[in-house]
Amino acid sequence: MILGCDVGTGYTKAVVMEDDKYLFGAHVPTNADPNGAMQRVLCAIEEAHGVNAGDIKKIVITGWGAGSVVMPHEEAPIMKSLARASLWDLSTCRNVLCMGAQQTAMLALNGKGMVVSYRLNDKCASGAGAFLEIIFQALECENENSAEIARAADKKITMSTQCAVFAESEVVSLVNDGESVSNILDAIFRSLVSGARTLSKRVKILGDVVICGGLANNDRIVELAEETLEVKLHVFRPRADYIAAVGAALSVNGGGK
Amino acid sequence: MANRELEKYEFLQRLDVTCDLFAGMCSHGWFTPKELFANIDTLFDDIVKEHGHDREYLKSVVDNVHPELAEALLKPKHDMDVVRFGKALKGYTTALNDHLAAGKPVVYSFPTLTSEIWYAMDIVPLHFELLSGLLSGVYITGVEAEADAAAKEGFGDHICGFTKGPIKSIEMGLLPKPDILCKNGSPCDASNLNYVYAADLHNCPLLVLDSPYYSDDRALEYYTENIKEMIVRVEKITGHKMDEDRLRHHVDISNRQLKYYYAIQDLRKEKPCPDPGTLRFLDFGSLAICGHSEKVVDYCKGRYDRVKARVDKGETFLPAGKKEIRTLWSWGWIANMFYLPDWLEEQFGSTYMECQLSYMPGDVVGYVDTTNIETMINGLAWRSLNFCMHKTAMSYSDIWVNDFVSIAQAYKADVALFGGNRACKHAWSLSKILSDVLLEKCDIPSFIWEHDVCDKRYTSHKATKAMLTEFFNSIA
Amino acid sequence: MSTQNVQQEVTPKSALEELLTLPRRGENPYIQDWKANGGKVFAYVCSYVPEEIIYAVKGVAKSRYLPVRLGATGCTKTEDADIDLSRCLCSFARSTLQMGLDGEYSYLDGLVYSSSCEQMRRSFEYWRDKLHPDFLEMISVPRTTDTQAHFEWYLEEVNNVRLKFGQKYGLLSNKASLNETIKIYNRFRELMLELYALRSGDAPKLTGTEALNIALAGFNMPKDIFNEKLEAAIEELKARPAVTGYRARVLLAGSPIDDPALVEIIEGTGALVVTDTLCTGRKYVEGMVDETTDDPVRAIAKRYFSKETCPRMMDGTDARVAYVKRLAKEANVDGVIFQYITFCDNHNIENIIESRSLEKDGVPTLTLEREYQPGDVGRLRTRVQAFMERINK
Repeated sequence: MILGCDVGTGYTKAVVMEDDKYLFGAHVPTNADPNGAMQRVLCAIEEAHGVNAGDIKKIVITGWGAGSVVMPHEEAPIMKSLARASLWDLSTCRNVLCMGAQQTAMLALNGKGMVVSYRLNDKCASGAGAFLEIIFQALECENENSAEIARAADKKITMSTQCAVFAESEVVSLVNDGESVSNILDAIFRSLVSGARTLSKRVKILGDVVICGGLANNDRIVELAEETLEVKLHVFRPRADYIAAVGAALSVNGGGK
Repeated sequence: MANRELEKYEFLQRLDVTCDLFAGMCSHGWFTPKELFANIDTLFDDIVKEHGHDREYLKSVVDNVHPELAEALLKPKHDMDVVRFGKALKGYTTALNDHLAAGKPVVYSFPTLTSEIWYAMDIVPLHFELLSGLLSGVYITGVEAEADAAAKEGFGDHICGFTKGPIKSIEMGLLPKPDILCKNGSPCDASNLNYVYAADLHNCPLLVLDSPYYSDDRALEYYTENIKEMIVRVEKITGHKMDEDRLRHHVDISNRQLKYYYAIQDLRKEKPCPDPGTLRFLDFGSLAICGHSEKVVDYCKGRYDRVKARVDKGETFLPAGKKEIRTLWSWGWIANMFYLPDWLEEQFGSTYMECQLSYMPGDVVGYVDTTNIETMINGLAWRSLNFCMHKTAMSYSDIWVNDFVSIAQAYKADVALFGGNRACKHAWSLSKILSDVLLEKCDIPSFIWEHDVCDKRYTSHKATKAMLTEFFNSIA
Repeated sequence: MSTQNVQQEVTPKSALEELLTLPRRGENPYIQDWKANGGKVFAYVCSYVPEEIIYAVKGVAKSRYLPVRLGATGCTKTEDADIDLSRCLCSFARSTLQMGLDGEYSYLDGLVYSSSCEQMRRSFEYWRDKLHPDFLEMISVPRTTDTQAHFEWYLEEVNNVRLKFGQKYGLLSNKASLNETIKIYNRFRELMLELYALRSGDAPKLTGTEALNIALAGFNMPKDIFNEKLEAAIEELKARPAVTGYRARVLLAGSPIDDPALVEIIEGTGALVVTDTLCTGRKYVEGMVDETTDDPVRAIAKRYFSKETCPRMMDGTDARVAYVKRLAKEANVDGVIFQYITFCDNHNIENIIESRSLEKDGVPTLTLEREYQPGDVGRLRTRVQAFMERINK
């Protein structure tokens, strides 16, 4: 069994793979503590699946916090991990759109599965999952039910600003003006997706597109992304946010085909 | 001999000390920071003795130097070039000191206007942008406090660091009050506004050289007339006259300087590239003080000799076994992170081809005909138009894009890095075309990222290194 | 009584009403008429394109050219423009390109650019490469109005574009048509200045929002027809009761505003925008073309080159400061509101210079940073309200 981990800025994801097959996974909040997060996610896996350290042949880590982890492990570069895992799930994949806690990335792969270009939108907080969590708090809703709530929107409001700081204050204004949570959430989702669209259009779409990252766990966001990108999106399986962890685990055998 | 006049203005004092540090720390054969700091008192003794700086001030300045930059500059692949640059720039700072001490006019001029014209009028100009760039790159605190002071007063985040750093520096007593400001229209609004603001605040003449939108014969004629008019006005305002012999003297120097400059550019086409990229910002500095003294020629010749020697001996400064990744810097060097090229060479074998902040198209510009004043002004005008950040910025995006495609092909580049200053609007508006064309025409992937050219807090060095590690691990 | 009501129902809109509610761009009936009659429409980018040069062209079968200002009124998003221009650029530049990409300018036969500011001028390449207008030219505008040589360059650029029109369409203006057009445009400016007088007197007859709507109408229709309408509208305004219920008189300065929504937000707080130094406002109409010369093209170019300058000009700071002070005094304002579009270097710094001088003279100022898109109402409103309180109004 290989343990692949993605220590992200929001969450640390871990998956257990055997012979390039996904067995199970778990995730915990990173809380800015990569080592603590690694301990916690290993515990989570052990408790839920009765796996213990001895069963794990190798640990491969990728993501923001990979460099800080102390326990013996190998490191895998994140972009390659995303590419590898995408091809593992969808062999015809040529583009990967990853919407995470702190950054959005759009990759283009050549016919041999090599990354030929990618763009990051990491400067702007308003496109990221972490910003969304703040908005959820302001609107007093949860990620889990947010898709349904947003689908209930009956009016399209446009957020005027691309700036997270201004956007937060704009949300407060809208609430004070009596706008429904559904309409506001829908507007936020659209704004987020529009940023992803701008980013993704800066990279050529060469074929099938896999969408992944924490935000892609949200059905409504995926629906809106398909609408605005005008392209069919394949949500990474088994879980959108486990993609890099899967890719890291796959790197052990020279990568999935 | 101390440059006492410069001590009145901390930016100039620090610039002066920087020259002596560069010349001093790299000439003793101390190749690591450990050795340097073990011998720091010797260095201080030498500098104080030769240049009369206050020891405490010197110490405080050294404490503020970027450790990674010091480490890079001390390396054998750079050291003697750093010494020669330090000496060349010292020639300029000493001349500036004497100029100010003699009560001569305080002139600020944008570096793309060739400095020989000023020297020929017995004027040593100051360059806001060179200063803010150098201080950002060498010193940990750079011009951050000054930029913050500007931000507090309402200057937007989106104003370029080369402008935001110095915009309040005169008010803050870090630079002398201007008698004349001189700016050509290029490269951008923000750069212009620094001069407009200073002219308004200090109530002094702003001479504008209009950089037209084109670079054909008509445009060159027009721009040349602008330069001539500027000279007439400077003569009227200051009483300093243009002297043909002096001009010839300085142009002769710059012609020789550029001969080496062009030759080095050509040698970069060799595989592996024999020229370390960290020196590129010093090259830009040498262009800003183009033609000042023989010391600038020494710098360029020294650069050339070392680069040529590597080619002749088949040597490389890349770590053993590192495969070369020939890297086109499709924006330019980052002022707040001068040592980045060195880090890239060590980590990834990434060698620095050309960039928009130092490339001089030798076959287009050539040399200035020194026959008479007319030929010299015409030649200098043409060179000025082709200087970096001039016509490439001033005109349609095609020029920049086409230039870089040609360079990519001629130098056989493998990848491109577009580390764009977030405030550089005309660059960002072509970032996609440029990277698309490089991929389509030259099969070169680009990594595009934002930073603030002078402010390391916007995109930290750590973040830049992480992103570039990701890129080189993913693509190459 | 009832017959009067019926009469009112069938009476067409008054000139004032029509100008206040004139649809934009392709929906504009005057543009539609113009095109139906075989005329061509060209958008100009910024204040340094001399419109008269375009409007004066008269060809066979009365085919005519109408210059309209490239704007982005009503633009709500810039997703497509952002891809190419990137998000580091001013949202006005991105919005105008977005409008083009959205087909809002499909009725245009071409564009004439001036190299006005860093960000607008870069959109030229995208019009050229993505939208392929039939006619696209650039006027290289000097960065200073300082000397005769700079003016001559500008004049040559203007003449080049004039000739390009001729080469492309076989039509040219002549002295007679130029002189006629100059008269029309000077009359337009006179009337607009009358309108400004109605705004900034002791008893303002219209709000800033209304004034901008009228100005926007003027950007998008033939000036001779607009002049007729405006004359009639001015009479209606004179007959109107004065605007009441406002808390403070303000001058609005800074980045171009061609969307009334922003002015509405400001006036919604009780401030009345009685005058402005906007390039889409007063600066557009300040300064006449000299009708007494024998060289109309030169006279036209001179007016555009030498009128109250845009801050992208490196000279003329003193004149711009004097201008805002003069207008503030003449309109007896309580304060000056400066605004600039995020990423606009020119207006950001110009605003600092101008506001500093005004504050020294005891005129309170407020500076707002904003996106081009109307919105973010709460934040802007709060800032303006706080300003009202600061100036005790």
